[in-house]
Amino acid sequence: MKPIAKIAINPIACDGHGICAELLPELIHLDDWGYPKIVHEDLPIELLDHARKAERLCPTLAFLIHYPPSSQPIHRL
Amino acid sequence: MSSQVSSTFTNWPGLVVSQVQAAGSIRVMPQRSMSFPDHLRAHGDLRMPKVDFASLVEMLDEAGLSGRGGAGFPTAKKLASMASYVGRSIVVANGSESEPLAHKDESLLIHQPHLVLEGIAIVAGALGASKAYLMAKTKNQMVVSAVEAALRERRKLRLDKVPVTPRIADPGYTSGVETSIIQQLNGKGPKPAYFPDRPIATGVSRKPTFISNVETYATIALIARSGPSFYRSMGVQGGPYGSQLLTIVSHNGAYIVVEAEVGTPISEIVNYAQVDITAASSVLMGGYFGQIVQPDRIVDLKLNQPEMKRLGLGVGAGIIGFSSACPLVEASGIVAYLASQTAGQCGPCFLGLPALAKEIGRLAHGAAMPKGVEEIGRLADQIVGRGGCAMPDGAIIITRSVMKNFADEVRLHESSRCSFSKGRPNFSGTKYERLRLN
Repeated sequence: MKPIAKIAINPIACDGHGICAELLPELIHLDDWGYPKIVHEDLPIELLDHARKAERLCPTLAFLIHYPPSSQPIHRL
Repeated sequence: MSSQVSSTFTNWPGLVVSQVQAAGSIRVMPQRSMSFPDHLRAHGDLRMPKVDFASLVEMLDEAGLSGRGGAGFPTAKKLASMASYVGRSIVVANGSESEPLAHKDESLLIHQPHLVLEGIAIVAGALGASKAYLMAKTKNQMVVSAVEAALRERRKLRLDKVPVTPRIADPGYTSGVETSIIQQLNGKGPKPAYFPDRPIATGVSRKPTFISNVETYATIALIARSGPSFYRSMGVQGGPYGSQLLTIVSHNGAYIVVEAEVGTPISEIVNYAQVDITAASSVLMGGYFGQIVQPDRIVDLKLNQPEMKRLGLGVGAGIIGFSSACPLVEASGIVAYLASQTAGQCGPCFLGLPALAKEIGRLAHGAAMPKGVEEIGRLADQIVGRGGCAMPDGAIIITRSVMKNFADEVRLHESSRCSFSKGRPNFSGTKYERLRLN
């Protein structure tokens, strides 16, 4: 499984809604206080759709996907 | 030993190379402020050197200067990262010094404001900056007066092409964080912000911002004046080079700010600061981002030598503190203080640090819970690396260091015993008085 991007969380914006952890339990766990903790930052292609959904649904826009400079996929509307 | 120590401070840092000997040299920072004529007398009657961007990067690289705010990042590298922003950036000198045990930035600004301002002018000139800011430490009128007097002199003599605006930092530990300084200069609250990329492309007034510690700027001024070879003449062959300002905090609460050459034996610095090392039960190396260690682990070390790094020890923002209290009590005091300083933005910090402080507090004060030590380790693993700034990481580094370095004491505490019955905590919550040397 080759990672196609890295996921990140802006800890200042994050309010612990937990949607990202719900969508990506393979990569994100919740801590004692319900805040998401990234356990694997490499995003495999199989989870790209889920990650995009998390990015769209995060109420504080804290969930981020960092694509490598050359391979940014074209965003579908 | 006294031959290597000069109590009459003339230049900072050590322009009188003859005073620098193999064993290193130490000088004390006085509290008298240097006027511009004093400054020229001390550093040579040479008006501010003008250096272009590429030569400044090269000069700092050759000197091997690393930042003096605590992180120790190579200054040349940091400056070089601004290459595409030359002609449209903002320069900030951070003298907020929010680390409670540190006093070197305030001492520097009081004693040699012109050297700092000269460093700012050199960097601002090289970067073609439109504006520069000097963030001074909060609640210190002597700093404010010294900086304002120096700026008045410089305005009269038209020394600064780029205007320097002095500002006083907001109080609080996290107010000293670079991103918080930028927020304050943008008229926002003193809270760290999320700027994951370096250099910061949209910082003060949404412009690319170069921010560094005031001692870094002062050292840049000295390197620009005397050349990198002067800087490389201090320290040891192969580097690191130069000298550094240190705050030495004695276990009785007195502190002294000294300049010590890289490679100076720590034991000499400690003797010079009149600290009775035999009365200390623990040493705080590097302030609230450092380690708490046994005194005998540091006495044979030399300042910033590879051996120190190998042991994972550093002086951070130039802090060596001594305590005769229980090291666990000291650690719990620091963690509790840091927990109280949260900006309330990141869950793992504002929820995690109080939980950690409570747990380590129980262990320190003889009310250990079953599996309390395990719990401390588990909480630390959850918190580390999860803050928007590095403050929570500081609490974790302190916690882990005391748990590891004083493992025997931790075991004693698990059965509510302690081998350090006397001694008040010294690393947090104490008001420090400046040591007077006779």
